[in-house]
Formats: sequence, C-alpha cells, structure tokens
Amino acid sequence: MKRHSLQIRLAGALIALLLPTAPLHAHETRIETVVEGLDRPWSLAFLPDGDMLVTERSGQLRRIEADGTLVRDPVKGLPEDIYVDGQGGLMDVVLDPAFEENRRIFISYSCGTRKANHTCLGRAVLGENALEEFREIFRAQPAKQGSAHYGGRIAFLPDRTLLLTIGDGFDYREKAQNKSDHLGSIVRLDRDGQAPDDNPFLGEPAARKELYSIGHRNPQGLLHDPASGRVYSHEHGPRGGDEINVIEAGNNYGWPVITYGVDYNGAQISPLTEKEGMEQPIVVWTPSIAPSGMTLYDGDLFPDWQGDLFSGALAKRKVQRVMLEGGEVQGEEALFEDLNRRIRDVRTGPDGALYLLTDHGNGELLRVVPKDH
Amino acid sequence: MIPTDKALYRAGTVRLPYAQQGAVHPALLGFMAAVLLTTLTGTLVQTQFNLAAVQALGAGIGPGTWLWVTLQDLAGFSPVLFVITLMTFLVAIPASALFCRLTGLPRYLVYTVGTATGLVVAMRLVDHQVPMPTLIAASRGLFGTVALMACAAAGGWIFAAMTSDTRRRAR
Repeated sequence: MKRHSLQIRLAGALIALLLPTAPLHAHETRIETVVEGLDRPWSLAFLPDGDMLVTERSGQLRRIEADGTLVRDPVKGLPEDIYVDGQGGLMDVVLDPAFEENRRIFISYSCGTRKANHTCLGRAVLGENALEEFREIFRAQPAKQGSAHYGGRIAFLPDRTLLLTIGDGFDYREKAQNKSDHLGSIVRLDRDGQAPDDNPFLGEPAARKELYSIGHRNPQGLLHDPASGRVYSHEHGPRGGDEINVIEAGNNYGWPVITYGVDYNGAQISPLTEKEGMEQPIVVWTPSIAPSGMTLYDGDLFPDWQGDLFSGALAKRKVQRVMLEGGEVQGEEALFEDLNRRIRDVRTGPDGALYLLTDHGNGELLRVVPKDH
Repeated sequence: MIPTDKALYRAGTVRLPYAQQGAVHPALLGFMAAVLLTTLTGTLVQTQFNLAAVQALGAGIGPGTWLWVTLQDLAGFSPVLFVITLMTFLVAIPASALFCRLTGLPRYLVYTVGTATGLVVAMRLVDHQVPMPTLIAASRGLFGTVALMACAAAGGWIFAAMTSDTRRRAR
C-alpha cells in the first residue's frame, strides 16, 4: 500500500494546475484513413511483414495488407462459440513474442450464451488468411449472465507470460474483491493458459491461481512499458471515476469498495475513495471519458510524445494523452476531438505513426502522422 | 332567497365536486402520496443494500457516513426512482382499480399486489432498454427485488387507504 499515493497524486494535480499547460500542441498532425468499412473494430496488431490484423467485435478477424488493402474475406478458423451481444464479441488480438518462429496469435473473446458466458482466451497459428490449430486456453470463471464488462485486453510481459484483463460482469461487482473467481481481475497466464508458478496468490488456497491483481471494474487498456518495467492499465469507472493504474502483482485496486464514481442512476456505490490495502490510481477521469485501448508512444515521428500514454475515449470521442515523466503524471491533453469519433483502440505503429480504430458500424483504421510527413 | 350550492354544501345538504370545494381529489392526493412513499422508501432500501454490500467487503462505514450516503442518495438517486415509480403507477393504479371492479377482490390486496407487480415489471422493462444489465443495483438479487416490491406495495396500500372514503361515497 502506498500510504502517500493520494498526497502525491493531489500534489501532482496541483502542480499540473499551476504549471502552464502549453506546449500541448507541439505536433501538428495529419490524419489519414487507412481502411474504412470495418464492423466495430476492437483491436489491432502489426505483423512483421507490414500487414495488420484487426478484430471486429461482431466476430471477424480481418487482415489489412501493408499497402492498406483490406482483404475481402475475413480470416477463417475462429472459434464457433464466440458470443456476440452487447459489449461482447471478438476483442483483442496479440502476437506471440516468438511470432516470427511460431506464427502464433492470441485472441480474447466472449464465449458461451446469454445466460452463461465468460471472457475467453484462445491461441492459434496464423496461416494464409486462416487460423490453424485454434485452441481455447483459458475461460474466466464463473459463468455470468448479461453481456457487459468483459475486459478483454491482453499484454505480454518480458518473461513471455501474458496478462489478460477481465471485467466484473457489471451485475457482479462485489466479485471483483473475491479471489475465488476471476471476475474483476487481471490474470497472468503462460502461453498454454496455465498459471505460472510464481503468481502472487498461489499461497492462498481459496484464491484462483491465475489471479495477478484484483479489484478492477472493466479494464480495457493494458500495456507493459519495457523501459520502466511498469504495467499500466486503465478501466471504465461507473459515472465518473475512470482510472489509470500501475499494476503490480498481488495488488488490490479497490473496486467497488473504493471508487471516484457513482452509479449510472445517481446512487452512491461506496462512500470511500481510499482504503488501506487498496491502490490509488495515477489518473482519475471524472466525468468519464470511457477509456478503451492504450499505447505508450515509443515511435520516432513525434519526439515530444515519446514516453507518454495515449488512451482512446469512447464517450468523449477523442484520444487522451497523459504526459509522463519518470512515471509521474505531468499533465494531459485531449487530441483529435474534431474527428468526433468513438476511439476504441490506439496503437503505436512500427513506422512511428499513431493508429486509431473508431468504434462504429462503419469503423475506420486511421493513421496519425506529422502534418508535413 | 334561494340557497346556493355552496351554502347547501356548507350545511351538509349537498356534495359538491372537489374542484368546487377548493380541494384536491382524494384519488390524486392518494396517487401522489403513493408515488412519494414508494420513492422515499425505495431510495432508502436501495442505499442500505448498496452500503451493506460494500460493508460486507470490509469497507468499515461508520453511522455518520451511512446517514450521509443515505441523504446523498435521496438527492442523487430518488429522482430516477421517482420517474420510474410515477410511470409505473400511472398504469398500475388504474389497472388495479379496474381489476378490483371486475373481480370484487379486496381493494387493499389488489392495490398492494398491483403496484408491487407493476414496479418489478417496470424495472425489468427498464433493464431491457438501458445499456447496463441492471439499472437499480438493489434489484440484482431476490431480497433486494422483494424489498423494492414491498416499497411499491406500501405505495399501493396508502393509495387504497386514502381513497377508501371516495369509494364509499361513490356507492
């Protein structure tokens, strides 16, 4: 428990208020449409040959060639039990760290039925516009009803284990504090879907051995920063109280015991915003921006952006830049508001451009480059 | 001099319409009392269920904070429940009146069951329409749903009580 985290955060906020907030627009940008006509695109992965994979929440995996051509037919071989409804469907796609050797990819998706569904993780080998050897390797427990709050973001750690975010299922928010299930947690798995033998809750007999951190609501942004070793995650708050957290093994992030938001109907969920043994966020967004997708920019095209976090915002229809210095938040900047698009995912491309996915029936893949590029 | 209707009313000889008496019709008064009672008690119930849930997770909420949150919910949540209850009772109370007339069942029973059933149906309809699975967290479980139904039943009971005299007069 970081006892002084609230004071540090408040001091940071005070500094941010006192300091001039320029040079926020250090970069003039140009936005190019790479592809349109995607059906609620959710996530993006860059292949070594320059092609890209895009998931569509409606249950398709699409390939985009390096020249921006959308391959007409979706990638075949996805699991048949993808449950598409509400917030559920096909979610993240991530390449195996050893992709060039094994051509393996990992996908997250909701599976099951309306009465009994889960956040699931599968892996397969990417062939010629088809997945081979698909295998479901993890299924969050227990089954839940309804089609909300799946989490679903995947990030690999340097030891080639992966983290997967799992939402609280909305109606099951108290289970985010329950270590005997996976709801409202981040789990750490090896590439076979098994719990590594150094997971933090292995010593607790009643706890699920896959758990890495608990007390999450609906985390839909997750990344590992190789430079600092930190893991950043953001999650949707209820009405207000969206958060960015630094994720550490074994920590409890508090939901729903501590929260900076209230329920959608105006009711208080908890009067507490801090409690011993529960971690404080490094950023709180009230009112909610509905964050989804996140990248830590490490490209060459925007030198002033290097080391900063960029989060998509669904409700506020923008990209939110969070300026970091030594892990401390220095300020924030709203970007691309004039697009007026729900931003589902943000990625740093291998070419240094910032790539955005817009959350619409006619969704787009957008590429942000310097204006004079 | 021929006595006016109002003079006869004052003498207890004739019964004037409520509008001419300068009074609000008991059915309207009863309706508003039913909506307000259900909103008030329903809000209190919702808050207690929410706080009990986080308290069970070790929140350690003291009595002062508990009271403060209850007051905050009266300000923040009750408008939502007021609208749901109002819309529900606009259907449930006339439907109960009709049912009462058709079946001859005891009106207290019909109004309490009618409003309670109406509220649970309304909550499920709202849940079906809004993006989140359950709008009112207390209604996620059986006990909370029954408790909220009891609040609506209290509203139905107060309506029946406040309109019983009207019923007798109509006979």
